[in-house]
Amino acid sequence: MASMGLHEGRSDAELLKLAMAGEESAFVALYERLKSGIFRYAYYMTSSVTAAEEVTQEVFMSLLEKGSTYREERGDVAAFVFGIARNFVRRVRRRERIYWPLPEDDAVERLAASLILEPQSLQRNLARGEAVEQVRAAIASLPDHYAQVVILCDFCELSYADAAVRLACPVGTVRSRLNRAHNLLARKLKPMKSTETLPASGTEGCLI
Amino acid sequence: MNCQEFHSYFEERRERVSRNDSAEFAEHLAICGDCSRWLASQNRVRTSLDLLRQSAPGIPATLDAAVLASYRKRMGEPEATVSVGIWRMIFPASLRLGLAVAAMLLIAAVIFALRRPAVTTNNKPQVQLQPQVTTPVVDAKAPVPNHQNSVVVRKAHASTRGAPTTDKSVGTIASDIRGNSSPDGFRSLMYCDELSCGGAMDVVRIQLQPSEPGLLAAAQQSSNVVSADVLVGADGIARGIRIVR
Ligand SMILES: [Zn+2]
Repeated sequence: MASMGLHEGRSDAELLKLAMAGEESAFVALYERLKSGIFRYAYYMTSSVTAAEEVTQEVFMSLLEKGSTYREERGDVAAFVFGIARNFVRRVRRRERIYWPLPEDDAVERLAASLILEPQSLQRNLARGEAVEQVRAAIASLPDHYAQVVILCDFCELSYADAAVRLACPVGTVRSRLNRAHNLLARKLKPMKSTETLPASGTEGCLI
Repeated sequence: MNCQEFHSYFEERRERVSRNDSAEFAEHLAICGDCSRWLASQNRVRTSLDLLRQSAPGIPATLDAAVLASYRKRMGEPEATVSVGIWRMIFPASLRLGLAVAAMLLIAAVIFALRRPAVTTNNKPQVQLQPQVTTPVVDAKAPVPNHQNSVVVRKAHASTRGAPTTDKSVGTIASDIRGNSSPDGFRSLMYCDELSCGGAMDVVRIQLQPSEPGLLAAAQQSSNVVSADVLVGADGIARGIRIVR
């Protein structure tokens, strides 16, 4: 798929229109722009490459179907596509009941101990698949609205502002959620003595 | 810098933070054990997230091909949809039903001809009726067998509510057809027994071209069009036919 150069100057919205009109190269260019973010989001949300593939494919086909309902004034195409992706991810998770098991306390304790006692082996320990899975499990154990911001900001590498658009949240809410999520992760990976209060679990006016 | 400012400073920055980042920051770290521990835990989280990010699989090579194939298929679909739509416009529902009945008649007649070659009837083999079927008319008011316990006619009209629906009645008709004796003028189109001709049947009126051999006489009695009632079972297969005079 190499149609990027041909449409380099075009906006996502223009590409979408052309793609819907049957211009394959425009579709390919749009796909190349957006696929990585969608795939990564789906992968981290489902913890499954297969599910992420399925979601990505469904998202682009759905985009062609629903593309006519896209309104530029409501946001960029990437945000529109993210909305579709989020619905598909939810569907896949419901269907396959894909979930990350809550981290076992002793596994997290072991990881935390290794990080404290052997700081020099931090890299080595975390590089191990088991350790990575434990971190993943810790993320999965977060409330959904925290996991979403972690995945968008830390893994999909969106700015706070872009994540805010995706989630229809104020930027400040995204930032505070991310910080709370990091605090929770820090606790899960190493229980802390701090008396930080648990964050509220409301939606705070956000989509999720 | 106090503790709150220390936290804010860290939270504003997406990347890992060290004591070398700012003199104020380093000063507070030196005097505040809580913030020092908190910073260590936060940096550990960021390291963990980095490693998890690095461990993520790449996009499978098959995905691109699959998405492109889906796109091409999808873009090809509208043509197919249009062609189906045109086909439906050209052949309205009534005509499609007629063709279906004609096909059923043909099959039934062939089966009948093969199974009962020795039966002598007044009519030519029904196989010749089929190709000229033009406009089928499902006529609720078509004369149905007029005896009390005859065909169970299923129609949309409420007037047929009184039609008997007992197995006995169906059996009677099936028996009649089976024996090729047709008190109601229905001629068997297939081998019938309790099993194959049981159950309720529809009477479908169709119109036939009078040019068909054997239909000329009937045509001369009325107009140029010859009508026939066809008994159709619940399975859609025609069981009997009679020319409407
Ligand atoms: Zn402090």
